[in-house]
Amino acid sequence: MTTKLDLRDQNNLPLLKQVAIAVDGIQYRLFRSLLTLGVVVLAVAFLSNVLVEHQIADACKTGVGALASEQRELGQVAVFFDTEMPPRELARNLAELPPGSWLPQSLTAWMGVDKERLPLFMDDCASLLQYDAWFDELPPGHQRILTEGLDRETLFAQLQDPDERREFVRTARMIPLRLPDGLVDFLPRRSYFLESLRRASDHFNKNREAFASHIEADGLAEWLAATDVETAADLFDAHQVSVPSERLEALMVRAGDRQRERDLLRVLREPRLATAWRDEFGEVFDQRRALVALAEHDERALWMEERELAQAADIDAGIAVDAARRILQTRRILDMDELLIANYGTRTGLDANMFWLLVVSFMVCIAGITNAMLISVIERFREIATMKCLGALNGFIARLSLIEAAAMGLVGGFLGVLLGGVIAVTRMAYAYGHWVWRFFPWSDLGWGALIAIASGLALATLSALYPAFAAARMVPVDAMRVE
Amino acid sequence: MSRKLSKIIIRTQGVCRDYNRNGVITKALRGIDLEVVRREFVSIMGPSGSGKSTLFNAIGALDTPTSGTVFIDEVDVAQLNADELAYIRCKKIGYIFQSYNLVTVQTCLENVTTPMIFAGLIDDQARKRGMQLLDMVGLKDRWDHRPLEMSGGQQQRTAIARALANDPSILLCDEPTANLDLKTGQEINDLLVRLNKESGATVICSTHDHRMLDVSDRVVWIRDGQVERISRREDLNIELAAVEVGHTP
Repeated sequence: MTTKLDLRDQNNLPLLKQVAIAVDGIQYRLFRSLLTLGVVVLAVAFLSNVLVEHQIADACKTGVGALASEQRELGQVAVFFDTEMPPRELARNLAELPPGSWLPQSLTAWMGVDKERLPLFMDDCASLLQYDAWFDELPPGHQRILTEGLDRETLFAQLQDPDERREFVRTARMIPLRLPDGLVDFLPRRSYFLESLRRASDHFNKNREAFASHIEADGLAEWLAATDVETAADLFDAHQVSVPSERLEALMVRAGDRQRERDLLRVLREPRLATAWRDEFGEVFDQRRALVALAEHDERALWMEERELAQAADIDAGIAVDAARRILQTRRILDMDELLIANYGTRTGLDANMFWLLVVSFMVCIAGITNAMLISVIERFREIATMKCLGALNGFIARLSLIEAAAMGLVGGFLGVLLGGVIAVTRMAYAYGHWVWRFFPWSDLGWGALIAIASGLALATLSALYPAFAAARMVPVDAMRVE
Repeated sequence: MSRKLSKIIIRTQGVCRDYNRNGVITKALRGIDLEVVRREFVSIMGPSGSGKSTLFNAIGALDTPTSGTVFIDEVDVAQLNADELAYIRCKKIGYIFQSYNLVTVQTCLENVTTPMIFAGLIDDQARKRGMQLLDMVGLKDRWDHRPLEMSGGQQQRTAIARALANDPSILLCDEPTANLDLKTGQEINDLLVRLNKESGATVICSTHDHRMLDVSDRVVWIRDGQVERISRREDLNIELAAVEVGHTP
């Protein structure tokens, strides 16, 4: 039949016209449509709430984490230059450095480790500590069964042997006990690694001692605070330590700050100041309150200077105020870093539980929307059958249902994103204050919103597939039935 | 049209329709043989439950008979797929229902233009033709009313305008006056007769309304799913008189 081609034009019916017909339907069945819309809004709000919260948390964690590791850098560096390090201590300090730290690179010469082998060496440090800790934390009963009376080192040394290792794995399985990932791979090279760690530690300590004898100070920080950049760079070079120049400058600035902060704290510990403070301002004196007062009121620092209370440390009003502010800021950063890690862990992104909760909630929504759309089809069976009598193609009827659902998915998705986003941002801002605004992940949130709206659209359209199919297959004879 | 139009527009051969409700088989149609000639005005009469509506559905390609064949323009309806059926319903047949079946969310004019849009007409043309049709049924000034704001007669006239949208060769009416009072029913009857004369559409009416008999070329009497008899208009006046007499005490 060539003639049927004319009807194909229904497929080209202007989308706007189709949408208009579908929207008419939505208005006419407003209550049920609102119900469907509500389901979409709630589902998308939940999704977007979870997404936004995680995005903000991740952004804060990254931002605050970077600030915190900057704060910790000097301390971490100083440890390597100031203390004698037995092998395990060296491994622990290396493993505890933040990922991407420049420090291990610059200490390769001291440790006698090849630059290429450094990543493996660092990994092995972490493995050694991780598996030792795992073993030490086992319940004593399990330990006894595994070691058969041997101590940890002897046992692990024995496990160099493949047969012993198989036996060990079998025993663990019988207990039953889950061995940590990678342990069996690490065991064969453990002894070898311990040996190279010992060598590295020996090398390191010898070099470190030579370096320490050249700095006439209590420690690296104090020396950096007192010296200038060229001298420091020369000394590092002479000892084959390659510190990147911008890090060195940052370290020296921080060392200077630290020096003044320590001075201020020493002044605040003086009983003379405490007494004078109480007499003057009529307040209970403690360190935290004094720091806050100094940071907020310049006149307190001026008063301190006038009364020559900070004379011992040679701190003038300006320095005192700056130091107090810095101390408070550092504490705030470190506190927030700890809080974020405690609440969200060190990893970023959605965790598996949350993901499943989202999947389940979406499935519930699909069931709900499918139901609502089926009712909508039943409500309209007469209208649909009439349209088929007038020559509507099955595809057109199906498309009408799908457009109706998609329109609601889009609107519901948009409202849901707004609702979920606002709730999440409010909650996060309430919990973490100005950090949220400081590291506000605008672009991530934009993507997240797009994802959430798209899911709302997909959710509604997917749910409408079956009802649309049912509507399309309806027989026109139903329109004849008199109500 | 290149094909020579056959004189017979609808032909049924031994059409049977069984309904199976909970295992009980009801034979609604028991072998109907019928031929309708182009431009004819045919009424299908019979008591309720006689199978009028079932026959109507079979003729209108709305339902598939259990056995037997329906030819519309010499095309076997049973051989058509869903899209081809849609084509027939859109262009060849105009349906008029007892309960009007207007789409309540659309205006009067939108109801009339919907089939034209299904047939691929663009909006402006459809509106223009829609207004002409509404003018023809006398509803020009009510074009933007919704069905529920109109009287039954007006709704049925809208439905008639809609049935005429794509200039169909067949108008199928299922008890078009059953829900209307006497006067409006008469108006609708007159309208259908006028359309039959003016546009040359074949009109097939299933009805209880004895006034229809006056205007029909032929009347098909159905009883128990079978054709009882077919009377021509010439014979009708006498018969009608007999009916009137029979009803008068």
